[in-house]
This record gives sequence, C-alpha cells and structure tokens, in this order.
Amino acid sequence: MIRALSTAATGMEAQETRLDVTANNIANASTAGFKKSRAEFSDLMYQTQRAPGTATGAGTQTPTGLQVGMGVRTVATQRMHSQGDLRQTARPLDVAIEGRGFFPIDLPTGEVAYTRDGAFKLDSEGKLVNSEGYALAGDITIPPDAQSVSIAADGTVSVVVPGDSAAVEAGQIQVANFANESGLESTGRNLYRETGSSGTAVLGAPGENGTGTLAQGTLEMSNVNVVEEMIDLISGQRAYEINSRVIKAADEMLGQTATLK
Amino acid sequence: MGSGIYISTAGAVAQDTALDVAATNIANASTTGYKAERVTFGQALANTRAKDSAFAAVAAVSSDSSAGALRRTDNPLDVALLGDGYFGVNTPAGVRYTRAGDFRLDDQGRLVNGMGFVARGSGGNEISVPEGATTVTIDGQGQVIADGDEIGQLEVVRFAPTALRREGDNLYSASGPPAAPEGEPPEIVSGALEQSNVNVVRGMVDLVKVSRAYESLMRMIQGYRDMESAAARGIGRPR
Repeated sequence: MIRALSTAATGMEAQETRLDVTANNIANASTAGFKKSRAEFSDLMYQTQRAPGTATGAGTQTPTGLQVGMGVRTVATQRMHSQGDLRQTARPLDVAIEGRGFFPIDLPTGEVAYTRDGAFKLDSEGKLVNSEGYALAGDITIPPDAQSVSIAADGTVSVVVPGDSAAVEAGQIQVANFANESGLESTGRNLYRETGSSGTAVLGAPGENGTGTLAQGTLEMSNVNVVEEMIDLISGQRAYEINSRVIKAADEMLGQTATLK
Repeated sequence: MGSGIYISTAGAVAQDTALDVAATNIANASTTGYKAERVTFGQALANTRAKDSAFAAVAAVSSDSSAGALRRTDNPLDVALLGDGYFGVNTPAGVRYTRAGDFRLDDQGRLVNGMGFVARGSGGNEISVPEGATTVTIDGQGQVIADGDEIGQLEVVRFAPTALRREGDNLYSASGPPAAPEGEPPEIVSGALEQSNVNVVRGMVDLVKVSRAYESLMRMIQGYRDMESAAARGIGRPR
C-alpha cells in the first residue's frame, strides 16, 4: 500500500508535467512560428519478487514472473516541428518558410539563433530585424527611400528606389537546415539554439538542401492544434484524478488495517 | 477457526500486491509503448492439513500484450510497430528491447531512443546519419533514409512473452535469443507513436475491486477477532 501511494504520486507528477506542457502549447496557440511540445514518459524500475522461469518444483517453471512496477517518470519534452498554418498578412516584410528550415538571427552576443517567426521589421539603419530587434543574418539593408520591397521564393530581396525603374537587389535571405530539428534547444522569444543533437546548421538559399521556399506577405502561425490540446488537457486531468483515487484507496485500506482491534 | 484469520491475512497481502499493480498501470496511462500488467491469483498451500482451506496468493503478474492506440505525431523519427515485435537498443547493461519508437539523433548523429540508448540496426550495428544530412526519415519497413540514401535498417525482433522481463525505462530484457522470424515482419508506421494500452476505466474498476476485497478481508479478520474475544470472555463463565 505504501508502494501504491508513491506509485500514484509519480503518476500525478507525470500528469502535472503533461498539463504544464499542454498549458504552454495552448498559451502559444497564436504565437507566430511556435512549435508545440509534448511530454514523454517511461516506466520506473520494477521490483522482481519472482523472476519468470523460476523452478516451482516437480520439474515445472513459472511461465510468468511476479514483477511489480514503481511508477512513471518524465524523460523528455520533445518539440514537434510540423508546418504551422500559413496566414496571409499582405505585409511586405512578413515572410514564411514553406517547408523545412529556419531563419538565422544574429544575437547581440555574437551567437547565431534560429527562428521560424518571419515577422521582420526595419531598424533605424534600414536593416531587417526580428521583433526583438536582432538582425537577420546576412545584413540585408533596405534603403530609406525604397518604394517597395519584394522577397522572392529563393530569398532574393529586391527594392525599387525612386528614379530607377528596375528593381535593385538588396541581398538574399538564407535559411538554415538541421538534420534533427527536434534536437534544437528552445531559448524562448521564438528562438532556437543549435546543439550537438540537432547537428550543425547547413546554410543555403531557400529551396536548397531540402529546405522550403519563402512566401512574402505570409506568416507561419503556431502548429498547435487547439482541439488536440483540449483532448490532452481532458485526458491529463482525468488521469491525474484517477491517480489521486489510487492514493485515496490505498489510504482507506491502510486506515482499515490500522483500526483492526 | 484457527487458520481462518491467516487465510484472510493471505488474501489481504495478495490484494495489496494487486493494488500496487493497479497503481503502476494507472501511473503509466500516458507512457509510450507501456503494456498493462495483469495480476493472476492462485491457491497456495491448497493441499495441506485442512482440505477445505486454501490460501490465496498472487501467482503471477503478466503483461497484457494487446496493442496500444497509435497517436500521430508527424515527427519523421517517431515509429510505431503494428503487430508483435520489439525494437532493439544497446544499453550499458547489454541489449534491451522496447515498444517505444520515439527515436531521435544524438550529438554524434546516431539514432537513439528517447532515453538516449543507441538503436540497433541489422546485426546490432548502430545507425549513424552522415554529417550534413538534411532530411532523415524511417520508412514502413524500418529502413532509415538520409537524403534519399538508405543508411540502416532498424532491428525488429520477436520473443515469446514469457522470455521478457521488465526493466523500467520502457525496456525489457530477454532471457534468451529472439524467436526465429515467422511470417511477415511487423509493419512500421512512421510519424506515429504507440500509446500505453492501459485502459483507465479498467484501472478504476480494478481499484474499486481491490479496495472492496481488502475491506471485506479486514472485516473477516475483525470477525475472527470478535469471535475469539467472545469465546475468551463467554466460555466458562458461570451462569
């Protein structure tokens, strides 16, 4: 009974983590470029009271053993990098990647971070920056007098300036691809950092190296499916409740034992 | 009367184990690839002195090997086995087997499972993704494909259910070599994970059954105690 109490407690802890992850997914349902996570669990060790195949005498063996488990634990939260919905915004500096790949962002610390959030802005120098003001790698600068900016599917940024009928190329947006996107480390603010597990970033023009192409005037929304999250929420809550019932049952059984006269 | 209280106690001890098993199942209702445990009660000391008394004991805890529901994850390295079979992984303690196909790549580009144990390819070799590869997928036959080239084949083996022992961490250890492959190898579904086959409704019913059985046994013990004290107080008292 004491074992059942702690087993149920591990179950409640695991469901709590699942709820936390679901809450974060739902909270970010409208965050551009957000990728949902899921919690992963594994069973804890087993107490073997009788191993399978133990001799029972008279030349027979137990076909199945007697192993009692000790509960569950959370082993990982994994991010799922499926494509989010694309939303037309008609804003010229909103760019979405249709397919794999990440925009490389130069952090003030000199490191490079990666993002799927393509809501770019211009800073005071006309540089393309993300919502935090960090520059898109490649130092693409739009002249202050530019009349229009167009971003092609292959990342080429061209501008039309007064007095010149032809568009002038201002640079090319590159995208990074990783062998294992799920291995990227999330640092918040829609940014990811390269890790040993993600593999090294392979930079290239959009459409190369298996990356997707760019869509101007479009934003990638989060890939959170609210219906799915609601179902997770309900089943997580119920599983939590049932684990708490185990605690109640074990407690009642202990109580009955304790009141034997 | 003498042995009755011990028969009830043995029953209560068996129900205690059943409660632990129900608790483990319910705690693992969300564990990928988990198989529910089932308790079998049996008679112990059935043919002893008193022919009409039999002590209950937990005879075995076996695995319910029915398939868990598949859940789509759209993660190319998540795979689920349709049908009987296990993935092999190399752990520091030796080869272990698992139904959880939550694979990923480690910092050396090797295919590992969720716990970080290296997945076994055919012949027990590890599967490494070449440097600079950009897309890695697993197909329906368990072939691991990087940028269009096959780089390995996931090992899928079968065992008699009694040959496996639970180790925790979603792993099983085997007491012998895998059974010879028979018939078609199990189909592999990529972009999906096999969920726990624990049925929480059944878990709740088990829980109610166990607690009620335990309660009855406690009442039995109490009944025997009351009879004993009545005997001690009543018998031999002059009227």
